[in-house]
Amino acid sequence: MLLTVTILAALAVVASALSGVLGRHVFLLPAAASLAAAVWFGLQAPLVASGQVLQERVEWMPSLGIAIDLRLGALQWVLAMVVLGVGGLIFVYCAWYFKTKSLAARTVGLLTAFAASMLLLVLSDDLIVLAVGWELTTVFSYLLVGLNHRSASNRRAAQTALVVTTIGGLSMLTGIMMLEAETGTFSLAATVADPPRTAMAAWAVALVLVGALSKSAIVPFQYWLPGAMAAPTPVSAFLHAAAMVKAGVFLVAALTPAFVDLPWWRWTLVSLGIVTMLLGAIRAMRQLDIKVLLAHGTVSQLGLLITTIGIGTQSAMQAGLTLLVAHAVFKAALFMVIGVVDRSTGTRDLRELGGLARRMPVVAAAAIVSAASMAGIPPLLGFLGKEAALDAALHDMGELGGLGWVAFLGIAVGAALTVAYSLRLVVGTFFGPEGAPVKRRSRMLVVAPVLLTALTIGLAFLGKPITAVLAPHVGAVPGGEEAPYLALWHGITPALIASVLAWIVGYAIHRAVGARRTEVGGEDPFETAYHAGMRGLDRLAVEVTGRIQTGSLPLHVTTILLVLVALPGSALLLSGSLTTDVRLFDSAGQVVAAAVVVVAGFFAATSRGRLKAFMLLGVVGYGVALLFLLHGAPDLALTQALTETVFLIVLVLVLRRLPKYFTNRPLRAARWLRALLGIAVGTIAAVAALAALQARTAEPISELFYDYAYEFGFGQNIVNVTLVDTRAWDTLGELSVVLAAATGVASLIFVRRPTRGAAVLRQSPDGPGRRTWLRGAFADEALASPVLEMMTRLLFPVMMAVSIYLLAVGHYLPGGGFAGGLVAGIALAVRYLAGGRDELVEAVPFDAGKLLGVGMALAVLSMVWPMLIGGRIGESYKLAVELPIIGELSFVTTLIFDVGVWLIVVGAMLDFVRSLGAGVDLHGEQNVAPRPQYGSDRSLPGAEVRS
Amino acid sequence: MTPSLVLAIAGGALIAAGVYMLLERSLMRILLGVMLAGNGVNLLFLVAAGPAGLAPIIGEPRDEIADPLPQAMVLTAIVIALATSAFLLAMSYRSFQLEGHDEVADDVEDSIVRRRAQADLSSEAHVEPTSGGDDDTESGGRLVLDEEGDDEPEPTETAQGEEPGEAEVARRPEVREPGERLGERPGDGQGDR
Repeated sequence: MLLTVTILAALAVVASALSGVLGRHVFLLPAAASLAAAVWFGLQAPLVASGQVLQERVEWMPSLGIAIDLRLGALQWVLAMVVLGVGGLIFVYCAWYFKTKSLAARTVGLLTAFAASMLLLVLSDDLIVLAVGWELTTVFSYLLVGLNHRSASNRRAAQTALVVTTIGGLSMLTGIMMLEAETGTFSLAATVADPPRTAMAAWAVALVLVGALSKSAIVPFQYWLPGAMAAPTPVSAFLHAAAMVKAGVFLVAALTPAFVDLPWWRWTLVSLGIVTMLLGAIRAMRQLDIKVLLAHGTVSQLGLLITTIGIGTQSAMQAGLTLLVAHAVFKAALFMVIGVVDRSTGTRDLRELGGLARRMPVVAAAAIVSAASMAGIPPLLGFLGKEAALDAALHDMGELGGLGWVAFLGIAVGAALTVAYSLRLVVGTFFGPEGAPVKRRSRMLVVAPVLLTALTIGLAFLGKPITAVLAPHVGAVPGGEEAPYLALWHGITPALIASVLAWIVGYAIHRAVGARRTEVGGEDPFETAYHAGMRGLDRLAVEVTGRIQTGSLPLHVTTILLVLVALPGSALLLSGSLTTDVRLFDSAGQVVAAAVVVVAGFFAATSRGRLKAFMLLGVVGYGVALLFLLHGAPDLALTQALTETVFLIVLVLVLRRLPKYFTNRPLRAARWLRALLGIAVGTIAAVAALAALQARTAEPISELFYDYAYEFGFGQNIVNVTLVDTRAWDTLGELSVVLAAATGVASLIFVRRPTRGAAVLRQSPDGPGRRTWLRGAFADEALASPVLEMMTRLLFPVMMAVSIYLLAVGHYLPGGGFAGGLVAGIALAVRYLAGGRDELVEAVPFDAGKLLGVGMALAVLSMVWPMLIGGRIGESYKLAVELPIIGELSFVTTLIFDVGVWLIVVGAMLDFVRSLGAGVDLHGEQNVAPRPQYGSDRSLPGAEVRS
Repeated sequence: MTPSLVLAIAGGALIAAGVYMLLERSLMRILLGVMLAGNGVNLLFLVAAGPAGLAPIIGEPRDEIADPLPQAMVLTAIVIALATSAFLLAMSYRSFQLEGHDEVADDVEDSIVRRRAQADLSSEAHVEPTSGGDDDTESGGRLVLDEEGDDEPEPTETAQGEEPGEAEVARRPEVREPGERLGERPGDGQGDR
């Protein structure tokens, strides 16, 4: 069983790929697989009939009690035969229905995947896996209905089908979870064997039923099915006649033995079934498109199935399952016949069709027999089922009472209407004056419908074996007496009389209105309500979005911060954490530094001058670095001071091109509100930090770092070991951010260049090739500063040496890849300041991207390589070598990671200086840089925009 | 363990100043705000980490060192802050280059939605049913015949795409005037100025 599902699923993937090679014949692959599996399942019939159950189980999520648990009982066997047998024939039909040159590759894959998920649905005993199969069939149905996605009406039909069945599916999933809460198991068999009797369980079952009814297109969900006829005809035959719409019936049949005693069960199902049956039949009478006529007929027949099974007795179950098989067989055949008619004449319109019986006798015969089966004419399978259904309604009068009569009358009236629309279909298409001309088509198209028609006739005479194979599930139903054997002739019974009456009345109706060819009128009220609901939902979304999502950045940030103040803020106040005991300060230096930081921060926030504000920000940054140092964090202090320096350099390079003052002076009132919000947020953050320390309940994990840093990381600088070893994943993520930001900066400046190669920046052709000690790099001598150049030439090697030193000792002393990289970055920036763009190109004559890429590769490799020698990801090793004279030389492998960090930081710095320094210079020369206007807070845009 | 009040005040003050600037529309001011607030948050990390101590280097007495884990986190934060600041700076520069200022305008799509809401219209994605729905067929009810009768049936799914429904055509112009989308920013969006 599991093998069949797996093979079909694998075929679904492979077949689509092969679609281009094999063309339409690709459908023969799933056809062969399905039919072979059908034979295997067919051979299990004696086993199933004897009441045994075939089970296969693969654990999936044991901790949640979810398993792929396939269980083949009588009910599952019937459905599997329908899916594989009828499905297999439909695949055969597909191979001649579709046309190679216009066959979308996904068609075969989707249809095969549907078959696999449908099989999973019917075989799964685990309700969660069942729900997975259920939703998969919904998704594949959506994709198949929308196969021609260029058509707006097809898309809409697909969406309606998806929305309706998904709502049902969600309801069902909720029901399943609630059931599990009652029973403690997801097993369908276990739930049915020992059904819970609580009110909660009743609600759960009601929710599951909503899912079942929506899938089987029962009122009030029936309207999606006729729309789904937008799918190609074989898809309609498979999904929307034979298999998928039976899923709901299957679920009702599976739950009947357990929950038929619920007081509302029978009445709900029978009444909804009858309404659906009559509504579908009446609407079928009014259709002009024979495929849509058949779709409404399917709705009607599904109503009949639910009515019959809803009666909830043994004989009703037997009749319902017989009808299910009968319907799958004749309706699939009818759909395929319609496909043939469509292909031959080019139309499905009753006004243009007629007299086809003479032109296509075989097709007509198949259609007539299948339609007769639908109308319940003997000696066909449909008659067998309908007789059994009528009989079942009256079989257990003592137990059913009035319900039996209601069901009996409903089924009888439905049967009469079915006769009428069957006649309309057959007579309108195959008899009467000749309509549209017929053209040649492949004879193979007829094979599948003819075989199914043969089944319709043949199975009708196999009442006894059918009774036997259904018996295990029929016998499980607690209500009613033992079901009688299925047979074509039971003598003159009320059921037979009702059948005969139905034929007569049906024929009369056909004589009266069957020839009408007027346009379809009258809206389906349920469909209208659905569309109104969807429109309302959309309007609500627009209104809510229009009010809440205003698109104003300050407003959005304000909303977020207000929530922060309101929720965590009030939680903080209510928790009583405000009474923390604190010490005023750690050291006197801390007080001074903090005071400087606060004052500088205040003036930075209130200053309107651009340069002034950023210089004050620099003061804040260095102040914070000092606070870090005083706190006992030399690594932080070092890195903070270096980043502050780098940022100031980069900033000044950009500010050259920007106006002196900030743009946009906000209103005074708004300013006060912002200040108020700022103070509130700042206060809450500070109080939260104070409270956090007091609220500790566990030992900090970093207590362990002291030992582990040395034992596992082989380093003495715990912070550095944390970065490159203990929490290397964090650092890897951070490196990605740096890499992305650096690339982003470069792309924003060198917008139109295909490469950001160093060559773009060269000033003069002979520039970089000439290496002299003191070359005035700036063309304008007024810009050149010989002193700075001189100093740079001396300083650059020293700074690079310091950078390497910091990288090397990082594992033992403050330093590391970050600090080292930043120093190297500053060295490069200084070189640029002294010598201009050429100088920078000379220092690093290749792309910054290469540094970034190599750095990232090194970092990742250094994480991954231990796996090659059987270690864990990120494990570090210490290699020690004894050398003469020098002594022991040791090397910790995480240094490679740190080198990666170093390279990325240097690469990023290079990108920053090249883009925001040299790149902006270039813009200035090309006249595309913004030009600040004197006395204004705006600038003229670069020439780029106006061109 | 008792935290240091001075450090917390400094952190809180920086965050307050940062938030004040974060709520403006000038990208440069927002950048300043982000950096100030970032510094403040880093300080609060130290507050929550515990009291000051010696540098977390093995060799120092184990009970007197400061907590190394928050330090590693803050170090990460510092470098990321530098990278993102540089990116914001480049964005601001680019904005000056293109527009002559660096104000963040209201989102264009959002204001379209707002106008639809005011005009009581559905969203652009919403498709009204054109008719009862029963005439939805795989081929629009009719197939185009091949001239020569071949034995392979006519394609239905991919050959002919239905032309966009009338409703779709009629629906578009009601809100979007030409030029509104990219040219002018909605005028009522900058209430903060």
